[in-house]
Amino acid sequence: MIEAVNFHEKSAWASLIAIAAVHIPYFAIVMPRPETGLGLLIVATIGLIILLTAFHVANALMTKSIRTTGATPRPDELDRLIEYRAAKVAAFVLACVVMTWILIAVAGLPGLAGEDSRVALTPILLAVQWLYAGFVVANLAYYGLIVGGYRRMAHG
Amino acid sequence: MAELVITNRIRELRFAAGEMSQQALADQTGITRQTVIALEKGKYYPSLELAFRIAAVFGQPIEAVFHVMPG
Repeated sequence: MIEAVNFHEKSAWASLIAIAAVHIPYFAIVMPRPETGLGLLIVATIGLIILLTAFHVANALMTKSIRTTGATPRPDELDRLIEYRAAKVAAFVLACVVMTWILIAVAGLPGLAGEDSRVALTPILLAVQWLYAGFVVANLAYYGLIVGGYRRMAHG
Repeated sequence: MAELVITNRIRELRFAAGEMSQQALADQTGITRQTVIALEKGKYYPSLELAFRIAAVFGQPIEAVFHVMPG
C-alpha cells in the first residue's frame, strides 16, 4: 500500500505531518505567552529537524527505486505540475498573511496594540509569532495541496 | 473557444501489449506509475514529448494513442 504511493507524495506527507506535529503545540503554548517564544522556537526547530530527518529516511527506505539504485527518483512532469500549483496557492496565502499583518500593524489591533495603535507599541513578540504562524500556514497549504493533488489526480 | 477533451487508449494498448503493467510503462517512459494512472483516468494531459514517448513504447503513431474531441 505505502509502496504504491509516489516518493514525492510520501515526502509531502512527511513534511506536512512533521510541520503540523511541531507547530500546533508550539503555537498553542506560545500564543498565550509570547515571551516564551525564543527558547521554544529553538526546541521546535530541533524537533522539526529530527522529525523530518526520521520521516525522510523512512521514506527513502520504503522506496524501492532508492533501495535498488540509491538514487532519489526525479520528479516527472505531473510531479512538477502538482508542485507548481501548490506553490502558486501557497505564495498567495503567504502574501495574504503578510498583507494582513501589515494592515493590522498599521491600523492597530484592539487588545494587542497600545494606546497609539501602532506596530511600535504592539507586543512585538506576539506580532512576530503571528507572522511566523502565517509562514507555517503557507507551508502547510503548500504540502497539503501537493498531497491533495496526488489524491485527486493519481489515485485510482 | 470550445474546450477540447483529450482521451487516450493507454489502458487498452497496455493489455494488448501482453498485459504490460502500469509500472513497466512508467519505467519505459521515464514517469511514475501515478502519472500513468492519472493519464489513464483522463485527469492529466501529457506534454507533447511524453505523448510521443508513450506512443513509441506501443509502436503506434501518436494519433492512434491520443484522440481529441470537442468538450
